[in-house]
Amino acid sequence: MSHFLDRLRYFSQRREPFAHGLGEVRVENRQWEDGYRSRWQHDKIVRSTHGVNCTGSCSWKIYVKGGVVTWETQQTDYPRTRADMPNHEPRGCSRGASYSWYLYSANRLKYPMVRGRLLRRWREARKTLAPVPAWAALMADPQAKDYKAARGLGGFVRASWDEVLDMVAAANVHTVKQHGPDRVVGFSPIPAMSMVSYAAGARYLSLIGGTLLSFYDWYCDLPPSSPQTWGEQTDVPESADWYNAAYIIAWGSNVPQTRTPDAHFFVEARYNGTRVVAVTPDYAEVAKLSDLWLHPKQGTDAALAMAMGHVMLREFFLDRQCEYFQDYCRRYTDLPLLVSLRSDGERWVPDRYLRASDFAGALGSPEHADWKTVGFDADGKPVVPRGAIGFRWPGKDSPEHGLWNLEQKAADGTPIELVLSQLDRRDETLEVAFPYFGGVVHQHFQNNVQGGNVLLRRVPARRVATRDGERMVATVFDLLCAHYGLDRGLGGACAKSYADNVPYTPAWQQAITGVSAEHAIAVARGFAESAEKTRGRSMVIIGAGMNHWFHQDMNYRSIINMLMLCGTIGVSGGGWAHYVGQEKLRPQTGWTALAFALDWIRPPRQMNGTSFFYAHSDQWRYEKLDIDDLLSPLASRDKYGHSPIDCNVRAERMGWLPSAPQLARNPLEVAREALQSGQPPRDYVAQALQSGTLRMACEDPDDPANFPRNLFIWRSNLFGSSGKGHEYFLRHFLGTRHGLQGKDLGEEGGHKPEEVAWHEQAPEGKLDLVTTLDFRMSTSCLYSDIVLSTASWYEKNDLNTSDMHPFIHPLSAAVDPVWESRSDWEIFKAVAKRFSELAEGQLGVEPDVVLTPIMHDTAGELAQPFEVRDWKKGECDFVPGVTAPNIVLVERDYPATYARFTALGPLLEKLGNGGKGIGWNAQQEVQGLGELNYLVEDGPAKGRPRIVSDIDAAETILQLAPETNGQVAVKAWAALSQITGRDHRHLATAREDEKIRYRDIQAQPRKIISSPTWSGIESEHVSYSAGWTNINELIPWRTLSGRQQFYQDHAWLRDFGEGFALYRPPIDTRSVAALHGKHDNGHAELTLNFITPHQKWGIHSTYTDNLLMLTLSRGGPIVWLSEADAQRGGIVDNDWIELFNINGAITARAVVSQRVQEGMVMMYHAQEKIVNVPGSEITQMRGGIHNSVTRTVLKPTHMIGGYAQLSWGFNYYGTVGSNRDEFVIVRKMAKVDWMDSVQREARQQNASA
Amino acid sequence: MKIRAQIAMVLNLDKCIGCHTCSVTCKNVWTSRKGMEYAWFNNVETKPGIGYPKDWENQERWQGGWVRKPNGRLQPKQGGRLAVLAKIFANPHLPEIDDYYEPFTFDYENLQTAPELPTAPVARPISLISGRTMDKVERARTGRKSSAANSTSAAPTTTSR
Repeated sequence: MSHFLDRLRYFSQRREPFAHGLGEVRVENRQWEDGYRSRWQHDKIVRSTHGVNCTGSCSWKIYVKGGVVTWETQQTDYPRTRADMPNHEPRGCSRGASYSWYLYSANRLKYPMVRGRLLRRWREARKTLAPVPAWAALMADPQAKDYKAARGLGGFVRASWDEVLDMVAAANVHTVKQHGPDRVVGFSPIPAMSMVSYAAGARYLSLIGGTLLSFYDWYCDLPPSSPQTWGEQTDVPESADWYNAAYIIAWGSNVPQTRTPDAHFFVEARYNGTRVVAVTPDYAEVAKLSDLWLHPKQGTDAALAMAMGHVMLREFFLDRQCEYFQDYCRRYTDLPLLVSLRSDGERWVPDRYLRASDFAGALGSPEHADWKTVGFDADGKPVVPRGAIGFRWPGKDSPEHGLWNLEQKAADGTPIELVLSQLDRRDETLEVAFPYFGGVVHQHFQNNVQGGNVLLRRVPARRVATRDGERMVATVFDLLCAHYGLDRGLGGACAKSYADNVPYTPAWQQAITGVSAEHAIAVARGFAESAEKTRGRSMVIIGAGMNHWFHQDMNYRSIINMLMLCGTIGVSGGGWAHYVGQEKLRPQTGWTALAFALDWIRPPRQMNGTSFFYAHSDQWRYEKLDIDDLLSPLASRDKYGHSPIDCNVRAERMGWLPSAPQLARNPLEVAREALQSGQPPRDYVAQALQSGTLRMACEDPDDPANFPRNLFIWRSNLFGSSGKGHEYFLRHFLGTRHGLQGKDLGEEGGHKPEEVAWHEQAPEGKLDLVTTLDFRMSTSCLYSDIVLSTASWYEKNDLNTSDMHPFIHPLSAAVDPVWESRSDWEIFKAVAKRFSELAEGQLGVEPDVVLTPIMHDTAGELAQPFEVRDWKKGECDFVPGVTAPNIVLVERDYPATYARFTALGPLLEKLGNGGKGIGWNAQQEVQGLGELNYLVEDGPAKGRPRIVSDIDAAETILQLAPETNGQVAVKAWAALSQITGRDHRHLATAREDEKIRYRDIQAQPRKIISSPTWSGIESEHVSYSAGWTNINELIPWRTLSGRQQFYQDHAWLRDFGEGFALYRPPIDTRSVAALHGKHDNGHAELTLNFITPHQKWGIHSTYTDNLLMLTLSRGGPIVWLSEADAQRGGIVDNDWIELFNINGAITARAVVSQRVQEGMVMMYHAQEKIVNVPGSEITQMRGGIHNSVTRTVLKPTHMIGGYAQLSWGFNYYGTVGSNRDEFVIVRKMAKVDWMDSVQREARQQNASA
Repeated sequence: MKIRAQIAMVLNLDKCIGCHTCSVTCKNVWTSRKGMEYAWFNNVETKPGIGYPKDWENQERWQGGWVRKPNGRLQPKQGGRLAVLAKIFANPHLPEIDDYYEPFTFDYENLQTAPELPTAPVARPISLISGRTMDKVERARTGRKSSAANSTSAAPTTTSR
């Protein structure tokens, strides 16, 4: 255009050809390029990341132009891996790339908002009353409660920060005083994605005595099989280690879709010769990247895995003995250990592990002999190998210090070599009974009837002389082989070949899963052969596709069996790679002190989320599951009752699970009484509980005295994403309009709980105040009373780490928080300030009684070695910390809350720091922080190191943690060395002088320093692989036996049929039968399994409302179904369909695809209901979220406590929120009603007003 | 042959995991402004599917690429220089908006400003072309012949308008 005249000079321009006329050098005007150049121009690039729970933890460049964030691209400057491996970069995905849209979008929360109805009443009360009395007046006025019924229904108005801080702080002060501090509750998940932001709310709540809810278990990302097998929450290889594997099975993990930034390793491994198999019911994206795709029917995977284990045992342990596998299993698993066999008249059943205490003289190792397992040595004599948990906690003057290790020695130092099998030395061959669940009838899952629910198998047994007479014992290995149906030449029922339809052969599984026996054999053989040749470099990548089922433990343990048999755990390139949820907060011990205010008061109040939500959303009132459905046929049926909540209550009072609220009274009052009683407060409370004058709150959750009252939600979307049983939450927890279709047990009939009080009228609206912090208007925000506009991830400073890689890297503020948003840290700090001000005159220095369960990784985990005894039933005494919860009296200086929030307290110097059972002193680090951040000049925290800004908080974490402070790492390894008797310091001495600081990681992500908190190491020579220090440094697993466990001997696990892994079909949730044909709209009804995989166009619910993601997807919630099912339902692609059952209803559009299997629908998690969702024909309200058709279900085996690795820990063990066993009725909608006429009218009225 | 400058990007489709990070980062930098909402300079496509814009691989329809003339020289399928010049203001062989899609946004503001209602507020789709609420996000019904296999939804849906 403007160079038109230049164009006229075309013929006179100099042109020089090259490459035989294929190219030309020209001198031309290139000003047009400025258009693009100036477009690209930017003022600065700031490093940040996305604080979302994806495990990606990717470092991004945020571009800023004129003070405005324009876009982001991936960082490529990660520290390098090794010369023989691909590097980590670039990391990122489409979701993260779309984040910048949020900052200035119409869905951005710009200022605090309050439900208009509530705000009006508040302002009215405030005309005459101070804040705390004003809130108290509102709470006392039944009419004022109408704001609860308006939750989720619009009507928000803008408010100022001063005003909302007043409301929140006043509510908290009032609740602490009136009901108790544990009635103030916080839910925020996954600290690793933004450690300081999490810590902000946790610190505030911990200081005032509030309750923090766990999340890893609630999200059903916790695999309980990991604590069961290894005594570890979750520890897995970094994704770079996939490249080192020779054989990978991606089982229930859709790697390119959910591990997007890591998927390149998966692809590169194949170029490197790795064989890759995908196991997923639908043709998921991971199948494209694999050599073989197996598609067992959803929910039946354990059957396939059992068959693979059968093949591995047959060909690598029985037909011949693979030396590498044998040696590995002998040293690192419980296979050689002895299990007592108990006779119930006709047949024998596997009972508990044999213990040293069963022998007179305890085989020379009397301390904690109840907790030491036994094996046979090569000469056939029983010995006590080192490493059992009984060696972990020697008394002060004990001679057994330094014996907690995996050296092949007995307690007294004699070298031993345990023997896997007693086949050749057997005294007798016994018929042992194993439960069988494969014959269970389920309308939608094919069973395999085997003539009963008990299988008899022949087992070689030995006789041992014990203190109470003779016992028959067998090794775990011999029991395992019998359980798998393998023929040992002992006769009896077993499989003679893979083609026999006998549990658990390849032919047996085919009927259940649909996978051919040939494929099962080929993959099992290939996996094991490869592991043999490479000494363990076979790996299973596993995820939510396997974990989100009720019987997830069976899915997992049947595969973990394979991994242990093939000697893969602890080997780089091999092992168990479970990635669901960004758990690995690398500088964990540096962060716990900050987050839970362990520097000021111990212990904090923590609660397992699943049981909390189950109880307080009243889902137990509608329970359809009967404990009888779950018990082993070998268990007595009179011990457990019928209701899952009964098991939970028993677990709480036996000290297994935590409670929230804890006591049926204000713990501040109880503490005052205890102090006045003259008795030691612990005894006072213990006696009151035992006598019944003081009750636990869990026995009556529907009593208003036991309601949670104030809830904080931040960094999460409880009501729009994770809330299983969404409609139950709406009705009981929040008290607003709901879409529940089922009735409670009072109306329906059915077993009511025995341990929990039944109120005829179910309460609605337990919570008095729901406050949510977010940067976008999520479903949780819609249902809150107060919404606080928080800073986005490009507007604040924080820390982020992940399981997938060994780096620590920051969030940084590229621009200031826009409009009136503030960072989580600043918000909670301000709440703490206002709380402290309003506490004056209301609360002073108060004593508080805190209950805690028996905790894993403490000496207390040696609590209940044998029978389960319930003090309430008179079966034992109430002994705090042994048969009942711990009782601790603490002191809280309420007006000093803010002073304490902003300063590092004295307990780190007094009591030290640590984690996972290892402790070290922290004097130097605390002093260092004082020099770095300066000291508080006056007030209640005078002289303490300051923690004022978010960067101060980040530096506190970095200085205290071994992973980021080399000095602490060496100290921590030294401390562990005291327990194992082996010197581990060499793992960190090379980096002893290193201290990673916040500015360091702003410049570049840094590799963390090896620390005993984690079982893999960061090294120039080997990738991070979990279990590496167990097999190389001979550190035991933190289990009863000290080894990886094929067997779980706790009475509850045996009673529920899960001593060994086996196949159990999905449960029947009984959610659809009552509704068939009840709401006819003229369209056919389909009954389909409701599956909720993790989606492509969002991370849980975040990004799902992002316009870029919506555009690339379908512009709103969708549900995938198969072509065959669609045809049966008369459904065409993009039709509006409804999904419903007794839990509620969903409206969405259909995606019809050939990649979906018949019999299932997939509603990718989590699409919320805030975008493009019409009204439901069933509920007559707007359609729900994906969790509107699910509900929370509890499994009693997850409630066990006080038993070595089966002891509670925050996010370590506990009940989980599975949901994929659910079924729904699907049908095409006849009438699509947007239900927005009222709002359009109101808009018009407002416009004309 | 006349040399024309071309800029190309080569992507290894064996390694491609279909994640669309390339689509989003490209859009954010180059096509994020008003009027360009429908434009995705980079996008990822999977089969089955007719692509974006619709049926773009159909060279007969779009007259793309080159043909070899009897004299051995290459000429764009669209025609020689004069033919191309004649179409410079209205080329019948270029896709129109319906061959892409009707770009939309959502009434997010409603979530924050809605008054109290009998049921939860929702953000409905709004066309970025017309500014009106869209009943349904779907493939545009184009008058042109399409080789698409899937039919669009047949049943009309009612609204509470």
